[in-house]
Amino acid sequence: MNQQRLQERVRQLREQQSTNPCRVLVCCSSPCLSAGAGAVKSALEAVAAEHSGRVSVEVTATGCLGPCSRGPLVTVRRPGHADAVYERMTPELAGKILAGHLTETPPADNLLPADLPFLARQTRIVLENCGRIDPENLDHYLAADGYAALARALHDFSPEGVCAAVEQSGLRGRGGGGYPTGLKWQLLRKAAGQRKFVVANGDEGDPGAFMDRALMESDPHRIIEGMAIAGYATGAAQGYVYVRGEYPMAARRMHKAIRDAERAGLLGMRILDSPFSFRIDVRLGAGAFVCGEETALMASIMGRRGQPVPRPPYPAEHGLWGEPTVINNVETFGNIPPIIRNGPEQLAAIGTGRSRGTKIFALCGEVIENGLIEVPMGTTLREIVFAIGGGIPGGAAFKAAQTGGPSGGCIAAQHLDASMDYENLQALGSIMGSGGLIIMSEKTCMVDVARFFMDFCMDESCGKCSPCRAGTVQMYRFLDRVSNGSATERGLVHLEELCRLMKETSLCGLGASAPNPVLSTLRYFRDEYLAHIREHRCPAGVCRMTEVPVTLLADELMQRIAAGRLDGEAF
Amino acid sequence: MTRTVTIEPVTRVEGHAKITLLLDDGGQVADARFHVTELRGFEKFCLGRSYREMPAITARICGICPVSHSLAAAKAGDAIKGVRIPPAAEKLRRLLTWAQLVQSHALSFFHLSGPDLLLGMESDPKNRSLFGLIATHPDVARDGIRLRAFGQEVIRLLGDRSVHPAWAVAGGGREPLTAEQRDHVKARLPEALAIARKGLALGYEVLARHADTAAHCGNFPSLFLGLTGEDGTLEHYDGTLRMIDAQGRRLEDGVDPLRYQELLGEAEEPWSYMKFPYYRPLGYADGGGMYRVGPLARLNVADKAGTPEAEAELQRFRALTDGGGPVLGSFYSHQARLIEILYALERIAAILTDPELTSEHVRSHASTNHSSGIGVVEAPRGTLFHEYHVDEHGLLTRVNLLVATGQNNLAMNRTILQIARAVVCGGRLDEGALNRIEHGIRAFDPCLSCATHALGKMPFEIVLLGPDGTLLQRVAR
Amino acid sequence: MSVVTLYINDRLVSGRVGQTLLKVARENGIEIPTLCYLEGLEPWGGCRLCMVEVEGQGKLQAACLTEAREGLAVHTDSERLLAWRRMIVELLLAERNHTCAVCVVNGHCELQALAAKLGVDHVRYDYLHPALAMDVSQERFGLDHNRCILCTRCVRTCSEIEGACTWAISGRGITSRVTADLDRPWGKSTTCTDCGKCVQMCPTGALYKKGATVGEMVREKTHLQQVMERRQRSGK
Repeated sequence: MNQQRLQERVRQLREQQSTNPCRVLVCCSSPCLSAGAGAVKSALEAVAAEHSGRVSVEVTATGCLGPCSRGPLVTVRRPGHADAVYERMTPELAGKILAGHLTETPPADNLLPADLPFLARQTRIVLENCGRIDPENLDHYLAADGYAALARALHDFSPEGVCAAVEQSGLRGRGGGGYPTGLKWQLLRKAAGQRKFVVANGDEGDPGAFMDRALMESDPHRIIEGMAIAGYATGAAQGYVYVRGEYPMAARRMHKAIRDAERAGLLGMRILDSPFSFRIDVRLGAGAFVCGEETALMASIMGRRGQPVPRPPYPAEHGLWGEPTVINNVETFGNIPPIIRNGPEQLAAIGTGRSRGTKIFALCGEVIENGLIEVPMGTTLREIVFAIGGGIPGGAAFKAAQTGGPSGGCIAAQHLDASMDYENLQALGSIMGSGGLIIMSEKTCMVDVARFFMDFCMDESCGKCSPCRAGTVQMYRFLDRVSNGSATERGLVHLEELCRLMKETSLCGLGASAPNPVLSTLRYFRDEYLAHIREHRCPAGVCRMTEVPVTLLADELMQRIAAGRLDGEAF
Repeated sequence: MTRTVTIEPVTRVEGHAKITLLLDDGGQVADARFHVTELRGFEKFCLGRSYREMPAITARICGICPVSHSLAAAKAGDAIKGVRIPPAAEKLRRLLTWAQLVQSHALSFFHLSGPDLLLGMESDPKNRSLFGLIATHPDVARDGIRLRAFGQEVIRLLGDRSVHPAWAVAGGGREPLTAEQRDHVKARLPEALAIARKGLALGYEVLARHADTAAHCGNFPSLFLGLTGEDGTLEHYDGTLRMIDAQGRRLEDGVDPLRYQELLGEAEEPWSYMKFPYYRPLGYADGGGMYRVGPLARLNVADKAGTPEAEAELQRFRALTDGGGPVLGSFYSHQARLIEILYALERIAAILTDPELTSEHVRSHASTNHSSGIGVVEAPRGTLFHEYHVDEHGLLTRVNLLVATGQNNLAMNRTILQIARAVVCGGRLDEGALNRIEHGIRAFDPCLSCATHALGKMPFEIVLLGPDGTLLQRVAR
Repeated sequence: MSVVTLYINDRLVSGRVGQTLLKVARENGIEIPTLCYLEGLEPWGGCRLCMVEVEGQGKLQAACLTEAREGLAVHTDSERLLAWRRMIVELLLAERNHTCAVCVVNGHCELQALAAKLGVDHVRYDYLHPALAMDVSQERFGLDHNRCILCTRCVRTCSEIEGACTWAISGRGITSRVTADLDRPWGKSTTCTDCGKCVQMCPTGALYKKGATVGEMVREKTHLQQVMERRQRSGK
């Protein structure tokens, strides 16, 4: 396979596809599958078989289309017609709808309006293929301009040129760090070393984040292509995709995609007949959030205990087995093919300030539309929540949006018009993070939110450094006390001290950012904390406040006994 | 209809306790109870620890007699290891035992009970304390302090500190005694002996002055238990168990202390954290199995003291009863303590001349060889039993501690009932009467563990309530 | 052998290229507290007691891991650093069951000594009181998890010095424990050589010689360093 033959193949595939009278795309990503997409697909295949004498129908399982709360989703595509996307499919409904299309009486049940804001107001670049191709079929990817970027890079660019293009695009790490990608690649390119490595971080540990999962399940070749381009740009011959253990389907699809690409000469030795060789292997995680941290991730790949080591030295200098290594998030790699294919200007033209391009957010929580969205950097929170997301169910008031998961903070109502970009979010006390975006209404207790995230960090702490290992426990205990009514103001002082201790002395990002949800909720919702502590009341009505502070324990016990609750209802 | 009088806390004893008196309609004392209001939990929280740590851990059961616990624990540890400790180690353990007797008994007589005995049971509570004693009887107070200091000093020399010393270990002891240390003790002996002799004379004066008190302070028949050595001599470190009745008949003799469970049972009552040991063959229900331990019991069960001066005093002591049988009044424990102090000092004098005392070899080594071990010693307050069960590596799976004071529980309850009946008239009490009731407890010198308050400064209040809860009388200090 | 000069607490000091800030400070008589650091072992950087302020760097740096460079200005004992050290020690004391009174290293314990030096006279946090066991299955030594501060000196000693790699950390976060041979009782370990180095290197009473009673475990801190030096000198 070389560039010429690749282009020829693509032309063939496109021709084939255009002759296809009917294609039915069934979203078979994890959310839709868990809602019953499997049975829906079988029903569609049955209907297709029925009509197979008359008309040829192709039923394809695809990746994630986006509006997950409306699943299972089915798209019917016919030449000369606009795509018809149907929501909340059941096997009967799906069968009925397909039959309708095949007999020229397309039904309107469950049809998503073409201008549905959730779909219409996105800028789907990284997610352009998701929901439109079969992720397990290399040909589908090729037909969608797949591997054209890699071919172009190998034949028209020097490694330095690729790095420069990525730099020009303004792309920054999408895992949350926001480090300029092109610069990172340059550092690796210039580093001295016999072996270099490229790693895709698919650990995605933030609760509520599923961007990387969707991308790996829905468009695995895109990531491979991005990694191969990175390998060429930096001089690496080996890549690893680190997939968290809880994503077996994603791992399977990555693995299959790698094999298919190798067989087609698009990966492995002498790619596309060029001198460039690049291998990729999948590595599975085993249930540790901390392995999303660069150095812990590398330890895990090397078969060691997944815990961080101090930096410097940085991975670009001293990474896997001591060799120069670059680690980028899966979404970052997803951005690479269009940069090379279409030129860096496309990405650079989108966005705001120093945040260029788009960002995928996993929109969930108390918002009507739940699912993945890809929007330009700089989109406001208001637009996301109300225009794209459809607002809060039941007309409840917006209270806050949590970004960045356990390392992030919340954006309160007064900042609804804030631009979602790296710098602004940081100024507001949060971070961009990997893209988790949890919407909260007045029915959410912010203390409870902080407690939830601290519980997570406490559980996921690797245990190496004392401030994080022991500090998260003490902070969690205090937050639990606030929630159950037994906290004191003195404890609040200790909580804030611990926040500063952990931020300043923790060994890695997990510990240093674990206080963020606490600090953020204290900054915008301190009155809620104080209501719990001083008035023994949860303003949102969420917390079961059954305890009292230790100093009041004796009085409380006497009162309960006097009220006839003889055992004092065990404290 | 009953009315209740409560004395809480009980003062000038080691630990925390409360006394409740239940009065009948005629204002007479119908029943009395001695409640121990602490819960320590040693038998529970030691589980999972190594038996080798027990001498150090159990020493902390008490601040006055840590040595006894430490030694009982070490002996149980010896049994688990299956070793015979080196001769010098046994001698040093005996030295520690005697030193502790001196120190603990001196504290009891001079500091805890001294104020009652010398200033008077009904004397002004403001002065009825060690400080009052220092003011009115400075020589006696100083003697008491010096005598106690002697005992403490011996303990400190071996164990590096006088409270919670860490000398005894399973297998022997930690450090040998140097010649300098031995000579240091020797030099201080004469003063201690002199004080002990003066104390005995004082003791008889006290007995004469308080004859009426002695008559109804724990003066009733009961069994007595103690360790005895070969030929029935007074024994505190090793020996066998002997149980006698109020007439002096031997119910048990020469019993291996390891078989203590066959003789002694433990009952529980809902109103006290302390258990009620009793002599099994005679049962618990009607009090027939009640027995006493401690200095009075020890002198009663022993045939002879084993040292010359103490022997003479013992004979004089026995003359207190017609026929020389067991002395039954707990008030006489004060005198028994003074005799034991003299005995201990004589023993110490003798052992200091033993060249083997300063031998370097004081520790046997072995690993865990038996799954259980029992260590028994006579603590100042009475027979002390430590029983440990361990797994194959020596981690404790079960612990049973039968403490001296616990064995006097039934007797203490009986004692306060006896005193209360004598002093409570028509349902009214005065402060002096209350003190007499408390003194009944003090005579037993109980170790309720962990005294946390300065002597004489504990505030307390007695409230007399009618059956409908109305306040009838309040006496406060 | 080139020299670097830098400022520590406004004092001009010198060190050699490649030395850490901790080394340079100590060689110049400036004390920075440590617990997980041990001369002769690879630095771990886990206790976070040796954090220092380096002018021009926003973040605190671990002195045991940071290379001394020419012209740095370092501060080791600001109010903030002292406050952090106290808090870390308090967190450690509250994390497990440190009962000094009956411990084999009472009076000779690095954690105890550090707490005393820092003036820790109370612990502001909840005592966690985890239910942790003792492992006394080994013939000569005992391991008491209640006293362990997870400094991993034993792990590093066994792997770097003895080469047996018997010790490792199992679990994560607050449930981490030092374990032998993939979590077997120490006495059943097939890799342990009985050398006792880990017992010598432990800063607290977690690893100790069996039979030692209260305060009896006294260690020689420079032991390991001497072993390393003699090895080098005896020519290999």
